[in-house]
Amino acid sequence: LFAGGKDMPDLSAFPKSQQVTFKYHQGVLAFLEENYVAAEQHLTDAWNNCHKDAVRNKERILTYLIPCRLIKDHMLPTEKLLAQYPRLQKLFLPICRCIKRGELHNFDLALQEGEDELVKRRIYLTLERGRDLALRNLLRKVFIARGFEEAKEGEKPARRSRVPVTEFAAAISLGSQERIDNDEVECLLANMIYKNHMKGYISRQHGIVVLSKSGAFPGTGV
Amino acid sequence: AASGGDATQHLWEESWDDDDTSDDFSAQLKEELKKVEASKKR
Repeated sequence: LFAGGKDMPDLSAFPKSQQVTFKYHQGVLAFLEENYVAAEQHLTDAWNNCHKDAVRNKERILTYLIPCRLIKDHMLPTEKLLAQYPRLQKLFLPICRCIKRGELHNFDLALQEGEDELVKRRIYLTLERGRDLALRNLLRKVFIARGFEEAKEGEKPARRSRVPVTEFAAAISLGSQERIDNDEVECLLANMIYKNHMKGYISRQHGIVVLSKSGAFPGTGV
Repeated sequence: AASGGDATQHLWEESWDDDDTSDDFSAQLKEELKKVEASKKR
């Protein structure tokens, strides 16, 4: 596809339908190479130029654009978008819902459920990485659920930023009903902090996580 | 043949929920957290 690229006329010299096809394949190739930045660019180009009635083609583009956006920008398709494409809805909706709600265990189940189809389309491994987002949203829910410190006079109430590891552990095992030990939870938490899904540090001595007072969960408004 | 252009904003959303804690799962979670806190005090 790329070979001889220099000998070819500019892409804009081709009919639009061919441009879209070319961009789609370029996007999928980049996607499979896990170059999600390039993939998103190509697929978005294809999407924007795709004929509005070419439903099957738009469906194909979205098959890769959705996982791409998920990993790169932490964006999910709206339910409205998915509703227009029943096949994609079946494929993505359960997974997206679980991510949004932070239902970690249900996320695992949804991924298992769709495994054959997702592997066939070669998006399984990419979507699997969405587990981090489900976990982030679950941990964030714990943080939100714990509410606020008593406000000092004249100050805005701050969220309670010191969270016992056991509370995160309870949240994680809530879905699966499997007990998970604190070391394993600490490991998950450390990973979250490392990946910048969560800001703060773990105090092993006290068994608590001290979360950042300004933006404990980057990009999520708290 | 342009499509989607204007509608793009409606097609994607951030990957987290708003701070609505009224769904079943949140309620369950709160119960669970209360239990943890209670067991600590004992």
